[in-house]
Parts: sequence; C-alpha cells; structure tokens
Amino acid sequence: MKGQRWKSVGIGLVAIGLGLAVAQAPVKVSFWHSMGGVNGEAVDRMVKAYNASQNACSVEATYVGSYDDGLTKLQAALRGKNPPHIQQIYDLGLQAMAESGQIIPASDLARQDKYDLSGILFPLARYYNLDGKYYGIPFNASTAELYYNVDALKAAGFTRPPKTFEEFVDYARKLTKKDANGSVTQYGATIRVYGWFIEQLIYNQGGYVVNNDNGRTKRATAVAYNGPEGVRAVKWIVDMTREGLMPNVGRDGAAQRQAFTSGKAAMFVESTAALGAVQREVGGRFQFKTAPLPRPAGTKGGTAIGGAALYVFKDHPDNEIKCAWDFIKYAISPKTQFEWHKATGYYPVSRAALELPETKAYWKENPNAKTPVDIILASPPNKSSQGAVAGVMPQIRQHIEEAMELAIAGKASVEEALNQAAQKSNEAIARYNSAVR
Amino acid sequence: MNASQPLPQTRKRRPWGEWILSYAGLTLLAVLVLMPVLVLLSASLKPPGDVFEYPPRLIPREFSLENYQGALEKAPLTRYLFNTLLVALGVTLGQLLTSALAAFGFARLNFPAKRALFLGVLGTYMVPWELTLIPNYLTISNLGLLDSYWGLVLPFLAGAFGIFLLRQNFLQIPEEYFDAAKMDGATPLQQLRFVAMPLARPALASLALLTFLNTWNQYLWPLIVTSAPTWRTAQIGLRFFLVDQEGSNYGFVAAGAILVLAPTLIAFIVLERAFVRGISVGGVKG
Amino acid sequence: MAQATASALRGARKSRRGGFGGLWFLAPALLFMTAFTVYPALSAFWLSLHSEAPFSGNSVWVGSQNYQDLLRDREFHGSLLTTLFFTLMTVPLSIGGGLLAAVLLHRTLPGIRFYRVLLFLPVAVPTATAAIAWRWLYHPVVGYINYALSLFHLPPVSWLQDPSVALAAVALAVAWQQLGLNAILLLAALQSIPEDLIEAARLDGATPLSIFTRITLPLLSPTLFFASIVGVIHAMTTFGPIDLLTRGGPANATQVAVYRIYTEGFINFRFGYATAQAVLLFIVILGFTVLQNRLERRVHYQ
Repeated sequence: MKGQRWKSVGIGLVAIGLGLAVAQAPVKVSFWHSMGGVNGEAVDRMVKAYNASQNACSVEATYVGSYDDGLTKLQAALRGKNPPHIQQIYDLGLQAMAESGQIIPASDLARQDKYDLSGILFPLARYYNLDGKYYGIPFNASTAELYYNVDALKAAGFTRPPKTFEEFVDYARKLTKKDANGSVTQYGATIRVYGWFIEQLIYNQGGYVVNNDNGRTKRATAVAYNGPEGVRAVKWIVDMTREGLMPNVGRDGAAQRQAFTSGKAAMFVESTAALGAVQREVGGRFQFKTAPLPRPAGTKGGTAIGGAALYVFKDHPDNEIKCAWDFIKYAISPKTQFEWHKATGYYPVSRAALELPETKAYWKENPNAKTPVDIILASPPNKSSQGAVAGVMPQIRQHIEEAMELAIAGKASVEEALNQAAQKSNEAIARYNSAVR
Repeated sequence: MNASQPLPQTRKRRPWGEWILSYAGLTLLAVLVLMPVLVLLSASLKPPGDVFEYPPRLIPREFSLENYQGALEKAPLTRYLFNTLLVALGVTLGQLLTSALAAFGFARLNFPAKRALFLGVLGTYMVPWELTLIPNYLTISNLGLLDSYWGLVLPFLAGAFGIFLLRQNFLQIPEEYFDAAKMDGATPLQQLRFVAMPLARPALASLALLTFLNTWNQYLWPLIVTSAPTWRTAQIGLRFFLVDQEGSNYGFVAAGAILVLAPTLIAFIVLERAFVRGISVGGVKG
Repeated sequence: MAQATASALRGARKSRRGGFGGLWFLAPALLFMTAFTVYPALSAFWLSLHSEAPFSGNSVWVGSQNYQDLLRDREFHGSLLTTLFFTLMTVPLSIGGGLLAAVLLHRTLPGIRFYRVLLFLPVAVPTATAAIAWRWLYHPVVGYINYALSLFHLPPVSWLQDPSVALAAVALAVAWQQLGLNAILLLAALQSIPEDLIEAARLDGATPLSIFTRITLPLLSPTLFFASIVGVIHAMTTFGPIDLLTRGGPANATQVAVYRIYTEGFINFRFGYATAQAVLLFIVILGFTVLQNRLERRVHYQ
C-alpha cells in the first residue's frame, strides 16, 4: 500500500509535469484479454486505433494467457484489490460474474450514458441477458460449424456437405481410405473431445444442457445434457471414433485442425473463429468450405453463440470507468467490429456492422466468412438456442469431456458415462447455489 | 573408504569390441534422448506450408527461417527473453548465495535447534505451489512491486532444494580440509569461500543450472505479477502462440520454443565445463 | 560414504553445544523462506478452514468441513492414486535412464565429452519447449511415433488420448527431462569411486556384473538416494507438462493431485476446498519423504 501511495505521488508529479505540456493527460484504463496469435494482434491494432482516435482516454491492453489463465490472474488481482478496468471473460463465466458482486453491469453503464444496446445482434443479446440485464458486453462472437474438404468430398462423389448425423456417418465411411497394409491414409472426419461441441449439438436438436429451460426461466438446479439429445450427440462422435472413421485426437484443438489441414481428415467441427488459421494452414493445397453443423434426421433446433464478453470492474474512479465504457462502445461500433471480423473470423456483434457495405463486399469475396452469421441468425429464438447458463458451466463442460473420453476408450457406455458425469455436475450446481446465497 | 585417492591418469587400453559396443550404445541413447529436440528443430526450419506434411520428414526438404522471423515479429520475444535472462540470473545468484551460506551452516556449524530448523527447511520443499501463489501475490502487491523485476525475483531467492543439495555435498568433504584451514586461522566464512565452495563445484554448477532453468520455466507467477510488456517473460510470449486453440500457428510455436531453448542451452554448455572441472578437482573426494 | 554419514552424525551431536553464530549463515535463507513459503502456507491453511463464494472473497468459517468432504471425495482420492502411479513410473525410469547414461559415459573414449553434452542436454530444455516437442512426437495423426509404428505395420496409438496409455506417455516425457540431471549426479558419483577398488576386485576374478552390483551400486547409494528423494518430490508436484500435454485428461487419467488442486481452486473457484487438498497433499509428500529417510538409514547402516 505504501508503494502504491508513492507510485500515485509519482504519477501525480508526472501528471503535473505533463500538464504543462499538454492540456490534460489521458486517463489510463487497463484491458486484460485472452486473445493470442493473430487475434491478439487484432486486439492490439484495435486499441491503438482507439487511443489515436481521441485524447481523453488511453487503453492499455494486456494479454493474460488463456481464458482460464486470465481468471487465475483475476482472482489474485481481486484479492489484492487491483482488478483491471476491463477484462474479457468467456461466455461460460456469465452467471459467476453476474453474481460476483465485483462488476458494474453493462446495462447500468449504458443507462447512465443513454446508450442504446438494442443494436446488439439478437442471438448474442439473448445469451448475455440475465434477468433482463447485460452484465458484460459481447465482444468476440463465434459458433460451431462444419469445415469440409471440397476436393476430397468431390472425389468420393459428394457435391454438398452432409446435413444429418446419418448422412455424416455415411459420408465418413466413404471418405475413410486405407492402404494395402490396412493403415488409414484418409479419415472421414475428426471431432475432438470438447464439451462446447456437445452443447452446440444438443441445441441443434432443440435440447437443453441444464434444467429450467437452460437455466433461463429459473436458476438451474440440475443438468439435462444426459437426456436423449446429449446421448445422441455423444454417441454419434463416440461410434465414429470407435469405428475408425475419425482419429482420436483427444482434447487437442491444434491436433484436430492439423488432421484436417494436412489432408488426413476430410471434415471437422470447429469454432467459426478458426477460419483464419485453417485458411493459413491449408494454404491453397485444397479447397475447403464451411457449413452448419449436422443434426439427427427429424430434429429441429439451432446453435447458440460462443466467444467472450467484456466486463467492467468496480472500485475504480468515475473518470476511469467512463473511459472503460467509452472504449467498449468503440470496440462494438460497426466499423471496429467489421475490422475485427475480417482479422479474426469472429462475427460482428452488432446488426449495424452486418449492414455495412464493406461487410457485404467482404462476404462476396469470402463466402466462408458469412457462414457463421447465417447459422446463428437461422437459429430459432427458443430457450434451447439461447444457451445454457449456470454458475458452474466450466465444471459442467469438464464433466461432459470426461464422459466422452470414458466412452471413446470403451470404459463405459455413452449413457452410463453421461449419467455419471451428470451426477457430478448436479453436486457442483447444488454446492454453487448454496454458496452464492 | 580411503580419502585422497587421485584418479589414475592412465587406464588399460580397452579391447576394440568394447569400443564399438560403447559407441553404439552411446549413439543409440543419444539419438533417443535428442529425438524431441530434433523434431522441434526440424519443424521450426521448414517453410510454414511444409510443417504438417505427412509422412513427417526429419530433414526439411527446404530450409526456411520464415517461422523465426514470424515468431519474433509477432511478439516482443527479444524483450521477453532479455527480461527472463535478467530474472533467471538474479534468482540463480541469490539462490547460490543463500543456499551456500545456509548449507554451510547446517553442515559445519553448530547452533541451537539445528535439526528442527533443517527439517523445517526440508518441509518447505514439499509445499505445493498452489498454496503460495495468492498470498505471495498479496505480499508483492503490498510492497508495491507488481510489474517490476523485484516482484519476479524476490520470492525465489532461497529454496530448500539448494540447501539440501549443497549440505549433502559439504558433508562429504573430508574434515581434514577444514581442520587445515582452521589452523591457518580461517573464519567460517573463509572456510566456506576457500574450502567448501571450490570442492563442491559440480554441485554448485548443478544448482545454478537447475535454478536458472526453473526460473526460466515459470509461467503462472510472471503472468500474475506482471501486466506491462516491459516486464513480461519469454514463457508468456510462447503461450501467446501456443495456448490459443483456435489461432495457434505451429511453425511459430516451434520457432518460439527453439528461441526459448537457446539461452538455457548456452547456460548449460557453459556450466557443463564447470561440472567436468569440478569432477576432476573433486577427484580427491572420498 | 560411511564417512559422510559419520560426519553428519558428528554434526548432529555437536549441535547441542554450539553458539548462536551459525544462525547468521541461515538468516538470509530463512528470511526469504519464511516470507515466501512458510507464511503463505500458514495463511493458506487458515483459508482451508473457510468456504468462499466465487470471486467475492467473502469467506465463511466452516472449520474442518472441507477436510471432512475430502474424506468422501472419490475424485480427490483418485488423483492421489494417479499421483502415486505417476511417481512410480517417472522416478525409476529417470533414475534408470540416468544410470545407464552415466555408466556409458564413465569411460575414456575419444569424443566422450561430446556425448556427455548430448546426454545431459534434456536437463536444459524448458518445460514448454519439451511439451511442444512431445506433443508433436505423440500426435495421433501426423506424429513421428505413430508414423514409425506404421512402418512396422502396427496400428496407431492415441498416446495422449487413450486413458490407458496417457499417464505412461506423460511419465515418459517427464522422466526424459529428469534423466539429464540424474546422469550428471550419477556420473560425478561414479567418477569419485577410486579406480583401484574396482581394479582389485577385477584381479580377484570378479565379473563386471558382480563388480557393478557389489561395489559400484552400494557406493552410489547416497547419490541414488538423493536422486530418488528429489525425483519423488518433483514427480509428486509436476504441473507444467500435464497442463501442456493433457490438462488432466483423458477421463481424468492424468489428473494428478496438483492439477486437481489447480482446477478446483482457480477454474472451479473453490479456493478453500482446494487449499484443504493442498494441505493434505503436503502431508502425503512429507510422509513419503520420512519413509524414504527411514529406508536410507537402513541402506547406510548396513
């Protein structure tokens, strides 16, 4: 604390010194994010452009590792009473952040500023609204989609991507090739062990991940992912892996993508945000396209959003909060979101950005970039595709992944594995609910 | 066992068969041991388009430094490497000093509660790091040392492993050496400086290398106590490429990994001489 | 080596009548360790008697509740068991490999220095670099190991994805890193064994094998003991490679205790409960070390 005081005296002196030169030093705002690689560069560009666009506020962006690493850093910072002004936190953190008592709800900030939040894309608005309020503002938005190798499909006699689970399996069988020794030279597809995919596949059938309509009518008290929709989704993946139509890449996203981009697997499921990386790695060696996720024949539904939102933390002076909010407004403005979309593969979060002539021209050139928007806008507006909300979503996802791994290894049937996982999830939910009350 | 037996300088000539067997064994082991590093080196030197070719090729069809250029451009890795180097050197020097002093105390000096203190020191070696992460963050934050070299160095200036390793070595030095020094009127500090430390050179070199490397490996601690790029370390830069599941670029990752390996490799080659010198000096050990 | 033990005993005996002067040598180390290890450990213990709501930092005294819950937590027990298996695989592998390397290196051949650098080298490879390399070798589809298997018409193995092999695969990677250190320690110890001792045995007609088991190994035992203590503690607190290779999966197969504690505390936001687990893990490691210490004494006093 003493050091801090000296630091602020120092900052004060520096401020006075600068004050002689410039009228007023910009207010500093810290922004912690989890965007690595290409996406991280895009964040840096965005922040630089914002700082250059005005001189009242100066944002300092800090890469804080993965979303999980970021939460670890945040927990330390909150205990030390020096949280950042803004942090990017993944979709799953919604309820925990809302109930943390550490943030200023974005709706309150917008109201004070008379800023209209109704321009946010409908599927995102539905996901991030809890009790009729925004706690964070969606910043990077994705969903899950199917990537397929057009050349490989054509060689097997297919001219369009599979639309149903059944079709997908049929495609995968025809696409799987073996050499004379029986070792696989091309897999039909690859889908890694990732709870988010299962969640999306459940929504795509109109099902729920947690009870009380995905926790949207009332606080969730138990999970629902072990219902028929979840079982179908997990079984679909497990059966194809066990049949040898897909390699077992485990949880490794890079390994999964490399299986596709190296040409060893003809189709794969991944976040829409991976488009840039896939493009770079394929490097024109074959043609690929994107399409909506398949669903079991005869079911209806649509995927929910993924990605992360920006949260503003309290206990900062008013002028700093003001700057933080000002930056968020900039970050979700149509032009910024278009640049962001172009650089990263995340789709724009506001309707206005979709309407920009630049956006339309860009999509004409890059039809793959438009797929996620088509997918997400086609999702029926029900509580399934609104996306599940629960305080322990990160744990729920871990439990789903454990179940998938058990089933893939043949150590349990899909139903058994999911029921076991559900039991653990339910305990975690009960514990959380009693802790926050 | 007899002390002061000099290593015989001449050995019997070995039969050819044993020579060939030795070389074969050494070469096989060396290839196995080096495989992971070779694989990485090979990937980092391929043009980005060839990184994922299958079947994999250990010797690139075409050599390219594009991945290195990319990795250095995308993150301020040189600054990060410099920071890590400074921090690792600081921690290493600090640990050598505090460990040598404490180890000498435990090995050769007498004071009350010695055994209890030694057990206490050993006990700290077993404390899981998760326990210390947040309290230490609070300490560093209260001292106003977030975003500073001190914040990165201070918590690691002493450690049980070093004390344990050096004490073990100091105990093996024959009493006669110290008796001789004492007769010459050497103070305990001088005995440490002129008798114990030179004779324990391989142990000091091992400790230096391991401390350097452990500090080099740190990820969560630097991530938590630094925010400004000015103070961040190379591991954080490496994760920038690695952790991001959706956008990671394996060519860059490989190049970054090799860049992060280079300084520790140099430290190792420098210290390797110390092991060897230490071993031959320590030929008098019993 | 008997001498080392003797002098240790002597030191212990003398300590009863020493002054306080020696404490000055300890002062710097003790200062830092108290501030940055002992104090945090104690404050964490205090925390383990509380329950906290995520992020809010509001904690409620729950007494021994967290510890009682731990007794019933099958996943935590499982993680302790995994830690044990992991240790049992890593330590013998890294010490065995290190011993093999040291024995091969302990001879005068032209170019031996070069081999020494090569075989010690893993010790200098940063964890992240090693993990990236191993991920590449183990890659289920385009990896080198599976490619090598395919050359022998063997089916690919999902090294890091199959729950029945993942722990062994991670253990191999970790043992690989420890191998260099063990080779260094053991080579130094080998070189300090007087040559004439071996020569005398050879003249008495002892076979190389019996020389190794009867003379070399017993003389190496203090170093082996040191390497095993360090190896056990290292294995029981391994975090980085697991985080980078498997994140505790598949199906919890590599969920060692430290990884479980990290997940519980920092991802699931149950800090009080996580600290209770860490305290328990500390006690387990302490128990192991005491046990090893007993064993060592028996080895020494023979």
